[in-house]
Amino acid sequence: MPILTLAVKSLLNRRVTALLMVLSISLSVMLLLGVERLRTQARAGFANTISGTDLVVGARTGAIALLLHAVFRIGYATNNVSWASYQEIARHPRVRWTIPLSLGDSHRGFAVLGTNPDYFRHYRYARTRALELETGAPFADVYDAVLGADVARELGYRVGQSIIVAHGAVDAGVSRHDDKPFRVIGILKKTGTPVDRTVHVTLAGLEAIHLDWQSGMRVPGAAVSADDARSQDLTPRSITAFLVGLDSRTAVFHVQRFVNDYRKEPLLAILPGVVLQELWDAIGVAEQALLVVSALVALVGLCGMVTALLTGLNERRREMAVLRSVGARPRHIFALIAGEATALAATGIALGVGFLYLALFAARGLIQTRLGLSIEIGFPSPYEWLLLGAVLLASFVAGLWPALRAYRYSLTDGMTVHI
Amino acid sequence: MNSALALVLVVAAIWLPVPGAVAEERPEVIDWKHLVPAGYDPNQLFRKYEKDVSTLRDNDPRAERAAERLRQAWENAPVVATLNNKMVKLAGFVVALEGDGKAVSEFLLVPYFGACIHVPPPPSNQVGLVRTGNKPFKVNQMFDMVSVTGRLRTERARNDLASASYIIEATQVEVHKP
Repeated sequence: MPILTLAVKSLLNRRVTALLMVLSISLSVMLLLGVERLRTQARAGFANTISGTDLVVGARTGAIALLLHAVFRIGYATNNVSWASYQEIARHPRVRWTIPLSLGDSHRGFAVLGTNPDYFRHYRYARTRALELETGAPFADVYDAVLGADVARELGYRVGQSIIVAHGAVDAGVSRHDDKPFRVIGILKKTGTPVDRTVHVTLAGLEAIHLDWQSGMRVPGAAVSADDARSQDLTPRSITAFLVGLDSRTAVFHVQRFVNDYRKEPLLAILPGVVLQELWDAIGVAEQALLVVSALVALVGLCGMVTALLTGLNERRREMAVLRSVGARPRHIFALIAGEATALAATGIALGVGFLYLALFAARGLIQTRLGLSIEIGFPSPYEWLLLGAVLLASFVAGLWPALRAYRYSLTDGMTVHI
Repeated sequence: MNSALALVLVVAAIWLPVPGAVAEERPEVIDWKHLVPAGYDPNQLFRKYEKDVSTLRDNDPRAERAAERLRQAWENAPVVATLNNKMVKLAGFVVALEGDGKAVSEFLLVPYFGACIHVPPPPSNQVGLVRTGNKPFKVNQMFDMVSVTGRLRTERARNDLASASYIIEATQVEVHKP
């Protein structure tokens, strides 16, 4: 079709302006989609971290604080749970299993978690998946350690490696338990949860390395060697938190009430699903605001396109006259301009989606390292298609205005241009 | 032509009875009070202890024992066995248990909002475990009231000491419009 060829040639003649229009739309689409993508991925990542756990119990702080610290290793614990309280609650008739957790130490930027074999037996993530070992075996000895997938990969550790645990959340080489190294006995498969970035050790091992420490420092002259520590009583005095599984999910309120009313120690029991929902509700306002801002940015991009088309119309009146001369009717001119606007927007949208995928591939590693969340890169979801469709529709509607202007110009101008 | 007609008849024979069968089992709209067997009055227990309890201080061991007995009675509240396997429709509030951030696949249905905060929590015959199967429910806000349609079952927990509880295999979960 000659008109189409001419239209393309006309566009190529204005390629710098056209490219800028396409670019602005693509960037705004990238932002719009990126915000939505990260939002859903973050939610899914958090929700998939823990599954099948009825209660999370810790010292009495706040529900969200306890969940973030015990499950996601975000933030700090203000107090501990005594071993006696833990034992008593674990003996409750409705409790089927518990997993004790002891947090506080770290190894080269990764959290160190003290726990027992129940962790590997009962912990579930992503609804029904259990933890699996890539190589090696679970704990056997006091100084055994099992690494999460990312720890092993980033630090290049293998089974049999010897590692030193640091005291506190930052491993700066100053407060380290270097007299009692741990031995890597197993490496877990990738889970896409904070488990990947955790070094798991035995509760006894954690107790052993702190035997000759008092108030956060090694007591001079009272050193206990690694072997001597084995013969001591390594029952922990306290743990940070524990996960609870019940024999019937409807009993959860009663056991929760039992823990919250426990007189001997101030404890807090939370339902992880409910507290996650509370977290989303609290963040929801910010998410909505972010979505509105992204939508406005897309609108700004479209305004830019309309502005460029409108201002360009004046220069193109001669072009319209030429097109009229080869047989184009005013309605063809209308269709041409409207089609041009939609085509530019469509190209911008496609490019924007492309940029987004590129950015996701590039930033995936960083997000994994910083937040412990794995971003799935799949096809756009139905909601994302809806957003893209909305942008396309808006651009079509926006393009009608310059199209109408061009239509009127071509009516008045005819074959000669009247300025 | 004959084979085409036969095919149509076979397909009709298979498909037509199915909606009919589903329509036959209309869900029975029930209220929370139907989940409590007739004659069981949890308030009775309160009254039994009230005379003593109101005179005791919070930390008194007798008060604690009374609270403990009350708690046990609450936890072992009886279920209505005749409701087992019935299609029901029940409205209540959602306490999310399992989900993927967008939708909830397993939740507890409770008669009032804030069941996890209020003291005492609902007795075990006023809580239903809802499984949404393949159709997870998109939770808008925590305080949405929902209507659950599904098959109600009374199930014994694994532990013999424990009482039975209600489980609903939901076919439909929707926002409740009063």
